[in-house]
Parts: sequence; C-alpha cells; structure tokens
Amino acid sequence: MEILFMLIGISIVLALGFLLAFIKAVKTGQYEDEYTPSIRMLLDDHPTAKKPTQSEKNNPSKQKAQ
Amino acid sequence: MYKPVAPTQTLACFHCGTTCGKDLRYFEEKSFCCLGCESVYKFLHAEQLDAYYNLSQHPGISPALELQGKFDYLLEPALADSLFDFKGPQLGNITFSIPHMHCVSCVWLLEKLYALHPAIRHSRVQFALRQLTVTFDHTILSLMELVHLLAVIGYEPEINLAAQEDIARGKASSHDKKLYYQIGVAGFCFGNVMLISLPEYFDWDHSMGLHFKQLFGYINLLLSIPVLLYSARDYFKSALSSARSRMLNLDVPLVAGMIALFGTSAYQIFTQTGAGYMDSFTGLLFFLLLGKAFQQKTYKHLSFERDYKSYLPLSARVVQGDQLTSVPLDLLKAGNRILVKHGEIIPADSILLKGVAWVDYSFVTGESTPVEKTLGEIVHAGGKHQGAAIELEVVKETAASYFTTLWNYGANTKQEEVLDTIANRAGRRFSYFLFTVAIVSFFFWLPDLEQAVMVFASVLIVACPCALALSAPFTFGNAIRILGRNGFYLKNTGVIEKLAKADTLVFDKTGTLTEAQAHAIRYTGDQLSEEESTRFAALFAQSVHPLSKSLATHLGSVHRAVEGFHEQQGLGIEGIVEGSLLKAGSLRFITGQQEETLLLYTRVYISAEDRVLGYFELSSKFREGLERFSSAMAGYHFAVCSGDQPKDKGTLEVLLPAATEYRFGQLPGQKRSFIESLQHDGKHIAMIGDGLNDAIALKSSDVGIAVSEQAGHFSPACDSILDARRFHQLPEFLKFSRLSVRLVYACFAISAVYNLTGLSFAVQGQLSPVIAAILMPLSSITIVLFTTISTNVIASKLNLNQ
Repeated sequence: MEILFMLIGISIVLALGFLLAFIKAVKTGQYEDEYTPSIRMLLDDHPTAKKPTQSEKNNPSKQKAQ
Repeated sequence: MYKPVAPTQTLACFHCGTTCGKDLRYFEEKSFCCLGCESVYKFLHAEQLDAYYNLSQHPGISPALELQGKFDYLLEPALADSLFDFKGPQLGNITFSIPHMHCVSCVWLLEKLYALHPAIRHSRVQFALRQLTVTFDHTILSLMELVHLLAVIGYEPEINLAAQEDIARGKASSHDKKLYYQIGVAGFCFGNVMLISLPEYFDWDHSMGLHFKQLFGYINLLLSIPVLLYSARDYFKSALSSARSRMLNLDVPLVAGMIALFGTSAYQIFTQTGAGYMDSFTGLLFFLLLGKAFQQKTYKHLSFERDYKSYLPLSARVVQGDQLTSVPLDLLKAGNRILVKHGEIIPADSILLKGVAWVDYSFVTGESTPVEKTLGEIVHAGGKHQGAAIELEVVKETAASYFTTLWNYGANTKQEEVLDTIANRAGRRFSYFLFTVAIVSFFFWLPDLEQAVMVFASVLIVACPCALALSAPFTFGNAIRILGRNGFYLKNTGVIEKLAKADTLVFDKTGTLTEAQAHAIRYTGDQLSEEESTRFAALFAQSVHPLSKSLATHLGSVHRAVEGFHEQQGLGIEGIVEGSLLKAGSLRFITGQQEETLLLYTRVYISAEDRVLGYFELSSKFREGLERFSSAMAGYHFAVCSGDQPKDKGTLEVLLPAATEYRFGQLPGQKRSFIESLQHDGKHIAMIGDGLNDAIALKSSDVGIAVSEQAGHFSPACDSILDARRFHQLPEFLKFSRLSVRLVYACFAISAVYNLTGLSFAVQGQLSPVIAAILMPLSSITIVLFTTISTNVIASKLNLNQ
C-alpha cells in the first residue's frame, strides 16, 4: 500500500501539468476569439492559382498538389 | 386609391441578392443589380475565388458608388501612420473595423485577401468584433490603395473615431484573463480534492491505516490554499467593501461560508478530529466562478458608450485655392473653407458658400424632413448633406458647435449608480436569517462549547448560499444570450432587471417609431397606366432629393432614357421621357399657384405635357407591428416625445393607446425634463430612441433602448441596442425580462428547500462532510438545469426562437 504515496504524488504532478498547460493557453490568447475559429475550421483550403512567390519557387516541397 | 404597379421582372442579383431594378445587367448568364456587383463578381471570378458564392447564399455586399478619391485623405502620411498597429520599414500591420461582414463567405474571402494583391501577406478576421487585421507591404501598396481594394469588393472599412475606439477597446479587453486563471486554479484543486476525498466518502480509509488519513487531509489542505488566496480573492474584496459601506451584498454570507468551511476543515485536519470539508470549499468556488464567467456575456462588436465625436468623420477636406487637403477634425479652424460631398456629415458649424444643401438633421434634432440651406445660411454640424458637393466656411470649431453642446448638456448629471440587484437584496435577507439561526443554535448547544462551535460552523457551511448565488448569473446569463440572438443586445445582465421594473415607455418618433429612410406614399388623381408610372419612375430616379428617391423606389426603378433633365432646387424636376415632357414638384412649380391651405404632409404634384395628373402625398412610414403595441403592452403607460413637428399626431393617436402623452418639437433638454418629471411621479422609465437628440433622454431614463437600423452604425450611449427589424417584438422582449426575474425568484425558492434540508442536519450537529459535499453540487446543478430549461421554454413560448 505504500505505493500509494508515489502514485498520489505522480497524479498530482500530472494534474499540475494540465493546469500549467491551461494557464499557458489562456495567456497566449486561446480564449480571445471564441467564434471565428469555429467558422475557419469548416472552410476548405482550395489552393488558388496564384503566382508562386520566390520562396515557393525555391522550395518545391511547399507547393500544394491539386 | 390607385397604386402604380411595379414592373413584373423580379430577378435576384447573383452577388448581393437584392431585386434587380433599372440597372439590371447580365454576365455569363448571371444577373446583377448594378455595375458594382457585377464588377466584384468579375474580379473574384478572375482570381478563382468563386467559392465565395458557394459558402453562403448571395453573400455579396454592393460596393458604394463614387469610390474614386473617397480615400484620398489616407494619403496624408501623419494620418495614415497613426492608424497602423505596427509599421516596419517594409511590412505594416493594421486593424480595420468592417461592420458589414456578416457570414462565413465574408470570413473566407477576407482571409484570402492575399490572393487579390501580391503585397498583402496575411489577413485575419476577428468575427465577434467585426475586425480584420492585415499585414502588407506598404512600400508596394499604400494604405489608401488597400482601403480602396476592400471598398471595391464591398467590404469598406469604417475609418472614423468610433471605429478607432472599438479597435483600441478590443485590444484592451484581451488582457482581462484573470477570471480564467482563477477558474483554472479552482477547477484543478477541486478535481484533485474530490479524488483524494473519495476514500473518506466510502469509508475505505479505515482499512488503509491512519497515516493515509493524515496524508489525504494535508494534501487537501495544501490544495485548498491557492483557492483561498487566489481564486476567492475578489469575493473577499467585495464583501469587505460592502461591509464598509454598510450595504450588505450577497458576497457577505458567501465569504462567511467560505471562512467557516476553510477554518473548520483546517482545524479538523490539524487535530485529526475529522476529514474536513475541503471538497465543498473548492467546489463552491469553482461553481461560483463559473457562474461569474457565464454572466459576463458582452457584445464586443457593439458599443454602448459612444461619444459625440464617434459620429463625426476623422477629417475634413479643406480647400486652399486649387488644392484639397485633409485636416483632422480637431485642427479645423474658423475661416477654413471646406468641401462636403453627397452623403457626408457636416463637420462643423459653417456658412454655405457654394452650392445648395439639403441637410438631414433627423439624427441630431429629430426633424424628419431635410432642411434646405442656401447661400449665406448657417449649416450646423452633425447634419448629413444630400445633393451636389458644397463648399462652406467654418464659423465655429467642432468642439464649440451646437452639436457638441447638445451632447455635453447632460454629461455631468449621470452618476454611477450601484445597482441594488435582486441577488443582493436576497443576499441581505438571507444573511440576517442565517446569522440568526447560527447564533440561536450556538446558544442552544452552549453547555457543550465544542459542540456549540461545531454547530455554529456547520450552519454557516451548509447554508452557504451557493445556489442562491448561482440563480441570477445563470438565469440572466441565459436570458441575455437569448435576447442577443433575437436582435436585442443588452450592455450587461443588470439591464434585464431594469427592463423588468419599467412601467412607462417613452418613445422618440423620427427613426424610432418611423423608418428613417422610407415614406408612406398615397396617390390622389388620374389613374396612371403602367407606361406612365414607369416614365415618372425614370424621372424621379434622376434626382438625388430624398423625396424623389422614395418615389422612385415606390414606383419601381426601371431604366428609361431621360432627356433634358433639369432640377430646380427645392421646387421640382422636369425632363423628357419617351417623347413626353414630365414635371414633378410643388404646386407652385407645376401650375404657378400657391397652396390654399396649410398642408399636413408634403405633396409632390405630377404633370405630363403640362396637364396636371394628380399628386403624391408622402408621410412618415411607421414601423410594422405598432398597432399591436397597445394590446400587447396593456399595463404600460405610453408617451411620445419627439423633436419633430406634430404632423403625424393623427396617425399616432390611432396606433397607440388612448392615454398616450404627446410632446412635439422637443429640444433634447426638454426631453430630459419630461422624463425627470415622470420619474418624480415615481415611474420607472424605459426610453426608446435612436438619435443624438435622444442621447440625453436615454441617459436620464431608468433604462435606455437605442433603435439601430444597421449594425455598426452609430448609436448614442444606452443600456441596450434594439435591431430595427425586431422592433415589433418589443412587447415580447419586455415580457421575457419580467419572466426572467420571476424565474430567479423561483430559483431562490428551490435553493431555500436545499438550505432548509441542510440546516436540519446542521442544527442537530449531524452534518458530516459527505452530506455537505452532496448537497452543494446537487443544489447547484438543480438550479442550473432548471434555469436553463426554463429560460429556453419561456423563450420559445414567446416566439423568441432564433
């Protein structure tokens, strides 16, 4: 039963990790815009036939396949 | 009475969805209502952005006419630079307020701005605020060109002081995260404490041994400390300040409960006489903070606190010889010669030097008819000019204009009232009850001091008004969201109580009871054939006078060629349409005779080939649903307080209840006096208005409702904003507010049941941690469920189901 000491300790540390992640999320603006991401998520990103910029010309792996 | 027939063709514009009229055009088998819409379509189609039209039905916005040169004031480097969020040597960041965005397609297109110009690197929409942030290369594309691009596709940004205020406010509000952190900490501690308390609930700790019991106790204590010191901080502050001001609010019994909980538990853990109530303690704070967050619903894309300056543009066009320069409004001096174009607002009190002005003061004074101003007359700031461009000489700086004094008239009188909410009143009564019971129980058990103290603490613990404290936030939080979905936006949840209390409704007339831009039109005279009415429609379409515009819309705008069009300002118009000479205007213009009697409404006579056919009578168009008001709002006292002339009194007397009070020709100060006199009689006033002339009245009433025709347009400072399209639902909105308040009382009753149950345990000294731990979440969940279901049921019963 002594293992419980360690287990409790580990679980609290784990939960603390979640709390810190939450605080970090709030700090970096996760909850600032609660509406637009819900719209943005549903939009497909069909590539438009725009002229490739210089960096994209040099980096063929970045070009999206149709 | 004969009504001319509108043409039968009804095609919807592919871009914006409005019915195509006289400017109908086709492109690739799609119909468009005007050149603007067609241009936007062509533009988007060329860049392969057709998905715009697939995401929403007719998502387009018709771009404004006359965009050429409209944004030249942005070429001024000082002004342009002040608008940037950040401006580096090459890239710049700027945030625009675009109230016109309304759908998924808008978001999609605005975030695809990079496809429209290579200098645009990135754009991001914040829909709740109706704002767009763009990162672009300002060395290639100037700010003016960027704004022009947005305007061309229909998303013209609002660039005035109001918009700048909104953007600044949006940035500031993003720093208000403390509540989230407090919830996070409370939630974390609550969850872990409950987990650690499980063995105690099920009596497992007996078998586990003493040292585990101790361990669990100390862990609980450790976890509860951050909750006490950080999450509970605002409650302690509020209770302290309320105790100091001798006006007890709901936070006082809450804090008493918190101290009792923490204190008893700490004592029990240290002396190993019990497990403590830390689970109830952390749970209490978690639920309370959630309720607080839920109650804080605000509408960030609206502003309830506009200053008069927000209504005016950022700058004015000053004429110097041949040059036109943009001068910021605060730097405008007396003697400056300014140019004002059609649809623009006069920036300062000035004298008309060149041109004829038709100034629409409906927003400022409530007069529904535009006023004609000729050379040498003073034109006051705040009016909207209609007609050809005019030149004026500034007489008074903007800050000293009549317009400004209107605003500042009532500025000092509004005190910051502390709203004595239902919740606080209930909290007070509850406190007295609670402390009485606690003290009585203490004395009852007194021979046994230890038991007496424990019972005293138990009473405070179990009677902790968690459910009471959650009733108002969740009920009103739900109510404000439901009202918002139905087009009635409240500043905060306190407004619901104010609405429920109101017993007198004071209405402004122009723009509130009437539609600002429309007229009710009646025709008397010879019947017009379809041909004749379309010809007159074409004639009216040539003039920019507000009466002509209304008549053109009424007759159905169809395109016909008009030759020799001539407008005599203020008198009439004439032109040759398909061979016949048509004239329209005042009686004097058409026949040379004067009107015999004083007319109640404006008349526009028409003649063809010098034969008088008849006349149109234009009066204010009252909003739909007005007839229903007297029956639907039977218990209220009505009043109409208007800055306009009494010409519509007859119509109003038919529409509104018999006992309605009428006041016409009211100046803003007189409106305020009227409201104050009613308040003196003990009435609670709800003022419903829309314009600047109502601003002072709105502030002095108990609750102010501003009617708004278009989202994002200026509304004076108020407690709530009502979408003009939902005006007819005003009776339902008021009823909903009253029922919400009654619902809160019902919640109080439910929480009383829980409290009495708990108290029966506590006074007997039988309160175990398990019972406390069950009662509190149970009562909270019951309240939340009950209130959520009830508000939705009430809403659908009142037909508020948007």
